[in-house]
Amino acid sequence: MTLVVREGNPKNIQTWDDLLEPGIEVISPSPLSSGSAKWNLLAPYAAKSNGGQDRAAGLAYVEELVSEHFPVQPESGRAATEAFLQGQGDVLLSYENEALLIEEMGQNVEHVDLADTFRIDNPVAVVNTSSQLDKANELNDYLYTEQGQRVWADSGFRPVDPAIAAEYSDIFHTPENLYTIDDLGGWTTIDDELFGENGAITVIYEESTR
Amino acid sequence: MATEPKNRHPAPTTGRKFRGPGSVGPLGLGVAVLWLSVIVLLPLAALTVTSFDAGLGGFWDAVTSPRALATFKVTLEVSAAAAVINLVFGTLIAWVLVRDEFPGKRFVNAIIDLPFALPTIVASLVLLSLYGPGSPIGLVFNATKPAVVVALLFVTLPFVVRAVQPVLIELDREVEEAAASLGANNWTIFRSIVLPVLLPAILSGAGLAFARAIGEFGSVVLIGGNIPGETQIASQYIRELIEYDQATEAAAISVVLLALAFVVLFVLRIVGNRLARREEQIR
Repeated sequence: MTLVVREGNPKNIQTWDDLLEPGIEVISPSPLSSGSAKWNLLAPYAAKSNGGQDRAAGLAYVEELVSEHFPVQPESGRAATEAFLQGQGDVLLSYENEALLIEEMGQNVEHVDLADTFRIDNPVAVVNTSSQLDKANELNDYLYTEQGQRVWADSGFRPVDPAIAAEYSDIFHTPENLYTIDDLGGWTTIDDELFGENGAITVIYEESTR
Repeated sequence: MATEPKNRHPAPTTGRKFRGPGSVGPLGLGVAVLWLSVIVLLPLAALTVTSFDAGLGGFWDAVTSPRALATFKVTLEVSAAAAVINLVFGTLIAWVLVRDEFPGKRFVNAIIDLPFALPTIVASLVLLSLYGPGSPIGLVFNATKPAVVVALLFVTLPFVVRAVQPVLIELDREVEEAAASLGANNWTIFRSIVLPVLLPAILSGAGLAFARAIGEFGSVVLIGGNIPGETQIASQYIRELIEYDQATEAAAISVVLLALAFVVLFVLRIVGNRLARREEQIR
């Protein structure tokens, strides 16, 4: 999870608190329709709640961010990126791989290495009723080979293999605090408490879309 | 799209006979009514029913929430602006196309219909590359209200031009010449001879443009920016609600749009009829 800003970081965005400075506009999709939006909001929630300990502080931050600093609510992560690249907002909440991708595309943006951030997991699943189960398993195995891990790294995704990750340490900086979904109690709990029908963040969003 | 001048030759209103010369008979009438019901009325009825799934209170809450009111306001503002601007320039273009001779006139005449034929999303893409970041003409105003108006101007231009043009063609120039020979200047001729005849067509064109604009989606979606309370129009809000699984609220907003369009067309008919009747009486 990272913050993308305009080239040269004109608003000097370095921390989560900088996003709440008056007048800062932040682009992030709506969690009512987008999965990436959930990761985007879990990152500051985890950072501000000290890894889920102080729930109220985390939610207070999210509420202020959403209601005061989100001018638009794109329906997906990619739509949010498009809006940002078309000139809307000062900061884009984004996946690191997406940030690296748009930087590579030559867009006039850069991303900020946050001290407190969140690990976005991209799970892989093999469909066990697949008619080509052997090939699917082969692909799955390949993803974790050295070669496979380099392909991931070259595409902007952090390798899970420590040795390969070390090779790419100049691209993927290690944050001081990296929270994970497990720190917050796992998806079942989080979806229930924050993103479900009566979840705290759902309520924040429904208030702001009314 | 009406290319025929409306209401200029009202049918004789003697008796409500279904069978007259050239009538298709009860079978034809039945097919027409059935077709209209299946294609137009049935979906509209279904939509209206859906919109009341959460009861009258739910409907009212959905259409009077601050966000809904903000999008209605934006929608009406930009649509009215587009209709008024096109009223002026559409009439002007129609005038030029009918009264002036210039090389390439037929080409220009054909281009007018392009916004009808062009997929609206393509229009949006074109406008974005022209007025978005990296604009080749150095004009960047995407994601602002003017950008939405420009998109609507593009898609609604043909309505006014094509409504005014046929009336202008039929206009009897001898009356104007007579007025000129009696000493009327150009402005007087336009105001008291031409405008009264053209007015029903101009208003009908502008009204159709307005009705189309309040429901427009494709041309606005890329260039508008979808900023709530600023550039988000009702159709974009409807789509957002659907993305959020709030189908009932989306239907409620849709019903309001539908009602708006209906009222606009209804008022137009009344105004058009009245103007036409007055015109007939003057003659």
